[in-house]
Amino acid sequence: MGGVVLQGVFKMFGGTAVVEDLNLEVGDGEFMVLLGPSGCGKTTTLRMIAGLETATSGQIIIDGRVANDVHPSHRDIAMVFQNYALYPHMTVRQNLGYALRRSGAEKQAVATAVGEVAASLGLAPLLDRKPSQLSGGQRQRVALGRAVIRRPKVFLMDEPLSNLDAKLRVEMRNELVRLQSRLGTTTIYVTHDQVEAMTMGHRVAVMHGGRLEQVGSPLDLFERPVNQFVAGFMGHPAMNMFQGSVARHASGRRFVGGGVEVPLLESDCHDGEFVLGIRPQYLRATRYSEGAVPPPDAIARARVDFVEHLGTESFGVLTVEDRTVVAKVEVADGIGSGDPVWLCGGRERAQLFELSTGARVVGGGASRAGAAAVAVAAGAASGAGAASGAPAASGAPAASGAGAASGAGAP
Amino acid sequence: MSRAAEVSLDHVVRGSKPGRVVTRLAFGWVVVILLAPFVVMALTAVTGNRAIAVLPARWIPKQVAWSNFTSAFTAVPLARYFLNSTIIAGGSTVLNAFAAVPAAFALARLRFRGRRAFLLFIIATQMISPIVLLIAAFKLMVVLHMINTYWALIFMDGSVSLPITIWIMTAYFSGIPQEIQDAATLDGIGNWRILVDHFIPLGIPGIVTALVFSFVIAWNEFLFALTFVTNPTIRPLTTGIYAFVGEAEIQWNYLMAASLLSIVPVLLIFLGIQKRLAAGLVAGAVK
Repeated sequence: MGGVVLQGVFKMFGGTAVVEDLNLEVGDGEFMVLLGPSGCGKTTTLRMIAGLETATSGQIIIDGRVANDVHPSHRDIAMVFQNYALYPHMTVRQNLGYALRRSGAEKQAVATAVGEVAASLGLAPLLDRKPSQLSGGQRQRVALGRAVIRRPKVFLMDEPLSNLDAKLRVEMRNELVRLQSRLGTTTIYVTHDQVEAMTMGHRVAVMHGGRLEQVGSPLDLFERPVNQFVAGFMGHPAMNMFQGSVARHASGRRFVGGGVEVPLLESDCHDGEFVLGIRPQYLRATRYSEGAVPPPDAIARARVDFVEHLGTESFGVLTVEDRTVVAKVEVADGIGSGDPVWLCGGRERAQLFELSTGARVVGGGASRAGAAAVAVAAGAASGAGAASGAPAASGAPAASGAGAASGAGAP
Repeated sequence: MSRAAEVSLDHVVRGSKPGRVVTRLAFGWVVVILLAPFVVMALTAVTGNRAIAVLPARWIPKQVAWSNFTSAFTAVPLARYFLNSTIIAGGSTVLNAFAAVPAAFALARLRFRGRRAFLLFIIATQMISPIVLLIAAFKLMVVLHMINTYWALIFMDGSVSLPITIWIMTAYFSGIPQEIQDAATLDGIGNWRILVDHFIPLGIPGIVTALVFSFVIAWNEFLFALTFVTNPTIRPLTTGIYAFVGEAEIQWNYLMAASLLSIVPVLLIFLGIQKRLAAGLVAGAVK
């Protein structure tokens, strides 16, 4: 097995930099996920590692050897493509054995290897079928088998599950993880699906605009994103973002903007313009009653647009002032479309990002890390309960700037 | 959907009744014009020697003279001409296949400087009428000692159709997913092997389409055959049946019978590969 190291890798197409100064180290036997939106350069990075694209500058090191000038076939890697790239005119047996056959392996050895791989992937009954006679999942397994049979040092996978239906995708996801764990082969897996990234990768490298934003374990990225982009990209539903300002008030330092008002610790940050992010999982909508005392951790008043029932939990898509916010809803509360609600909680897990750079300044995983991030001053929380609900109710002006809050979480 | 809406939609989709009648008449007229030469050819081919000389000409013969088809074979060495045409058209098609398939693969899939310019140059050669090349080609054939040989026509017919075959195959190869080439590259296969193992099997519809064009162009070629071949034993059909055009008279019935027979192989080829031809011609139109 072998690790992969990218050192200062650039890829230019004409005058456009598709990958910029990429530095990434993938350990021997590690399952690394390259995650990012379309056009962020993740597939180009994978193709550069494969040798199907040439790096404009920088070094690509595979198993300790600089591979920039090494032909793809000599890099000892195998790739699984998004559309499987099976040879349609060949049977499953021929597809699986093709690389071995062409490398000069003996007929008997090829047949044995094909038999073993087919058995391990449940392809034995399908060996004499052509790809067109297979289902999506079966094709995917043939593509995997074709990669596995060569026992390469590195697996490269380019969104291999994106053409499968949701149920099959989950099955194949598990199958892939088991396979990688069993073989212990270094794997670099490209996806734009953060659920795949979170569930499959030992580590995840988030890319955006050709740059590497952050590398870390899935939980690290979820709890401690380095910037607003990573925070918004990781997690489903996406993080709620509120643009506003932090300033000292009579009751202490507070974030006000995007229709919410959140008390902060004095030491958390300086006064100024920020973006506050709170994941939907840490926010909840509770029923609003005219004249009733608002919950102590209420941060805004909102109206329910609709409720999404996901089975294990439900999320309400709410409007706070004129912005969309997503928060958990208890089915037992009987909250439905059009209901007025209090938006509560989330303060302990809220994260602040610099408005100008998007970099995280405080918060995120505070409880795990043992550091008080955007912990709400207890007194302020209770004392400001009514006040914190006030902005929306009283029509206090929202933070300046359009799109201060985004239910979609896109930065 | 309401009745009124249905009627309205029907009107949009199918057009008004008078409009449909006019359209059908127009199409019918086009079909008549297209078929007329073949009908005249077929009727003339079965007109007897006496009837053909009658003036004013009768379009439909009183007696059908099937013997014209056998007489055409005895009047000139028609079987030999068929064989010659088959050798020449087949040879130029094979030559085309060997030259156009790798060229199309390179143009479709390999990145090299001047690729696009070369592709445009190839199609630009199609703009030149063969007659412009005739004298130069004749001199070349003399230098190469190819006058009165099959090779002269094989090479010239092959080179005339080469640009169009390259273009058809390039378009088809371009439609084969890049990932198949990438997968083969990662499997350790070189470009030649990728071509042989994958692009040729997957490109069969496009290749067949292109080669049919090549065959038909060579089968119907007249100018080079008339110029480069004077030896009757290697004459193709096109110039062979020209023998029915004498100085004193033209044996129209034999000429048409032979012409009709000369169409048969091409017609059979088209019928045989009709489905693949359609697939090849529309390749790349949609994903």
